[in-house]
Amino acid sequence: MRSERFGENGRRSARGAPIIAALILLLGITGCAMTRPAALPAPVIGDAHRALLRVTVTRQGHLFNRPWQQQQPVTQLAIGVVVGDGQVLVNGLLVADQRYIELETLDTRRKAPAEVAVVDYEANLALLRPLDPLFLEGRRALPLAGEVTVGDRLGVWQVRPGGDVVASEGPVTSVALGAYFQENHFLTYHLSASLPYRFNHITLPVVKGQALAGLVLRHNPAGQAVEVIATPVIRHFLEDAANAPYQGFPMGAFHYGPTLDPQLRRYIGLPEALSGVYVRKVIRGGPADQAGMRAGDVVLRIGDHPLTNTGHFQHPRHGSTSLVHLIRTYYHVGDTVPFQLFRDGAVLTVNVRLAHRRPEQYLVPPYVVDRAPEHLIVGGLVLQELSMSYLREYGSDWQSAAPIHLLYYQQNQDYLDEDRREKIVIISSVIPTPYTIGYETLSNIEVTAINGRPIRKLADVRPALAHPVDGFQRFELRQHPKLIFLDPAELGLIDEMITQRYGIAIP
Amino acid sequence: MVVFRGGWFVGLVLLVFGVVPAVGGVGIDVSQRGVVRVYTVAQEPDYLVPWAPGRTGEGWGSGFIIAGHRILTNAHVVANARFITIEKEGDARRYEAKVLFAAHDCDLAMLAVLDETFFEGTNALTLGPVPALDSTVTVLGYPIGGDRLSVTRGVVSRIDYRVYAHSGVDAHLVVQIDAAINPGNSGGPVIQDGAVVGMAFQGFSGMVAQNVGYIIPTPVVERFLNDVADGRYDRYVDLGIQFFPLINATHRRALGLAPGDYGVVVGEVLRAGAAYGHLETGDVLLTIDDHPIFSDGRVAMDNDRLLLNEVVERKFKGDTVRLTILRGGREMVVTYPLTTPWPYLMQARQYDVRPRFVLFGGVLFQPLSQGFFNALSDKSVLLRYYYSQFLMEELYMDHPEVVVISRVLPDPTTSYLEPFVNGIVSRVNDRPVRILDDLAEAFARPAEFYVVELLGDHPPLVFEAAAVRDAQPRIRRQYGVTRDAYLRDSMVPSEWMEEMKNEK
Repeated sequence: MRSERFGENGRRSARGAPIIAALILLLGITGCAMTRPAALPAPVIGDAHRALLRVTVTRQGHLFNRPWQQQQPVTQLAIGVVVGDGQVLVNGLLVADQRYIELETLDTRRKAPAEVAVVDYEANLALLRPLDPLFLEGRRALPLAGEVTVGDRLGVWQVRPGGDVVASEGPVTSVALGAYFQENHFLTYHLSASLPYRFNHITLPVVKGQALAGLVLRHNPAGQAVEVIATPVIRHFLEDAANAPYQGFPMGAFHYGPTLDPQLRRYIGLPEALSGVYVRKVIRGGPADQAGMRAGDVVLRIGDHPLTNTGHFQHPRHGSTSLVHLIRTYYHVGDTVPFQLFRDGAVLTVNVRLAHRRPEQYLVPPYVVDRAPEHLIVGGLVLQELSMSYLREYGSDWQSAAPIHLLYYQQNQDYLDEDRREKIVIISSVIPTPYTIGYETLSNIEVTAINGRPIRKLADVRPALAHPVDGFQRFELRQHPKLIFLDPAELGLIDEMITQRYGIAIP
Repeated sequence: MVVFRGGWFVGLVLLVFGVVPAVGGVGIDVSQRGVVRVYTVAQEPDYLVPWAPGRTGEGWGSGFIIAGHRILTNAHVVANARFITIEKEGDARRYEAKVLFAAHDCDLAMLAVLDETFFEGTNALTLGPVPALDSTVTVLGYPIGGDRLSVTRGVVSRIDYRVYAHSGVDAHLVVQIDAAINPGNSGGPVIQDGAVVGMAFQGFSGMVAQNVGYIIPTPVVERFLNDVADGRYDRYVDLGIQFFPLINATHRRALGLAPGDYGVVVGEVLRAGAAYGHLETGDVLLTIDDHPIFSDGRVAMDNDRLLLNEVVERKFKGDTVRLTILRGGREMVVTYPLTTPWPYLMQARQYDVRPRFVLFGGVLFQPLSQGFFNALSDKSVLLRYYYSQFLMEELYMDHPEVVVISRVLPDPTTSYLEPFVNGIVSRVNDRPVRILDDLAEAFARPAEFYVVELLGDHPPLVFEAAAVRDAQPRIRRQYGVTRDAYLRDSMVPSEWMEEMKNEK
């Protein structure tokens, strides 16, 4: 959700200029755009400019550790691709916490506001729609490319400030799973190309001939390595986006590991002829759980695809590819997929109905976006649900700087389901007033119950506050000091004081 | 004892030094004839190669003679010592000494000299009171910068609690002085009116602060002498609770207290602490041994306002404490015997112990401890959590020892085991592994497979007994491993394991 996740911007234009001029001449003679060497951009022949739009997005997020506080608005530029149905494709993270989106044509320089039609932050893709349905008239939708394999030459379309479309070209060096956003892994093309004309654009289209093959995911200028969101991921997204409501990419909801170790194989009795992955944990209530999969099962086959001992299947073009691609991109939410399992010496098949695990279904949501962080202020105590967005407020070294118990809950959340909490509700901080003297040091403490009623999510707080015990609001905490009290009669006064002194609205 | 959990005393340095000087000199007055130089060869275990003997290093500190032909010095001067010699002014000989008692939680040690003739011509020093603020004290010892006895002078700047850097977690009374105290001064006496009023022991490195030296005051020294009088050192004892100041007006009213500066509330009651079964969360502590408790947890003692822990600081294992408490609005008296809440030792530096380990089939298992944790270059969230929350989250209930897979020694049998490093063992062949000894026992039991289950996101680690039988001697030879296991020197008291067994 931060701009640096998109990669750095390469700017190495000056040195290459004379060569480019020479090359244009050469191209004029040969007329063959596909034989150009990499990293020498030249204007794109054809009407690429009609398929592209300049997209300006102004985003404004919140501080999760001061949930009433907004960050300053940040404006970013991108190049969007017209993909039909009057919609424009861009990177999903570009529009996270967006407040205003504007489209601009490259040739006529017309501008128009737009809205987000569909966004998938996990796959880092979004579809935009101009508010004026006629705005895209006369634009050309870019068709989706067919197959892309290692060795194909792809072009990255960039746009100069004047509106000229230039292409950097390079070969696909590998096709493998890569991280799109946080722990979400999808198919990624690795392209060997430099992007000298990025002009701070975030989204850049990647083409095969005149068809859309992907969007730049991130770019390392030093290594000339460009990671590209792969065509099948975009195709999956566009297919799902056409059928409201948008469901997202499916998951199996289980943890697995390899079955390479012969000692492990002999112990579980897995014959040499069988291969598959060892299921370490089935997430409660998820598709695998509902299908009856268990920890200790070995998944031999998903659909028609036999798995290797490291969890790969044989992709017809890309060769050995992770089963994550199979589950997340090959299938759609709602598909029922036969999983062939090895269990207690026998082979059996279960049918897994794939579903998407939405961020709010996690104990510690991996991202909270497009809304203000939910919080309550009760007697100056700021109550929030723990989320990854909250932990990230501890800065770039949040993985060492954030409180260790909260990091532990985040990292081990799938293994901590014994108390059936839906979320971890914490006192994140205390807003000081004369009434909170003595409580100011409370921070990152979990609330387990209020007035004897268990707090399993933030929404449990208000109903629990309606039942003071012996005239006091009684907060039970997991950590020291374990137990604190508020006076129900004072809560209104404290709220008023916070609003007056700090200008903070009480939610 | 106050247990501190953070590392906020960064910059504190211990005042032991590492080169050997010559000796000599005459003309020393009464106090000076009680000062000695303690020269030590120490051996530090390497937690990453736990079977190896460890590296040796030399250093020296100071010390002083007390009645009964005993020498007092800092525990850090003689920690992990393999060979100790004592020197005195006016005598070129070096006399071998041995440690009688080392109290690593208050950085004090008592030595005996093998050849008693050493004490001829020496003078035993006596202990005095806690020096007053702004009074002048004289520091004697053998700091760097020369070979002869050094004398520096300063005033008492502050009397307070501080963490003793030697263990890193125990805090006791300290006296801060502005006399120059430098490496080598450690263990030397601080004199006022002809009596010892403290022992120089730590300061700040010059990059942090100047003219700040700390001395161990005599109440701490006397407590040590009393503790070892029965021939054994029992450590400090503790109330076994965390208390919370009662400053908040609503908090006070809810607990039935009037406005005012008295009373603290019990928060965490440590399961492994003395108060378990005697105090409850939400109890208000009003007095401790008849000292009224202020609302910040201090009591009036020795013409000062000291943390209520000071009452307990002066007690010994098995001594009782008497508390007046308010529970559910009713005042009552609670008396209970004091103990040491052993799980706090997780974060304490350990000395004079060897690293515990089990090596099985090329996989090294070690319990989490300060020495081991600090030696790790890669500290995973799981290990950080178990290390730092061991006491407060009561992780010791299931894991009195947190048994970690610390290393996989490469061998054909361990080719696929590297991903298990940093995993915490929970069970072997369906039996819980609570301490390292459980693991060793499980591996000693005949089985075809040894299935090690780990906490968190791991598949089981499977050892085939036949494969291990072949591999173990080969791996030991290959990596020079001198033994399969070292199971002594556990931090977990056997009484605790008994108590837990009986509870089930």
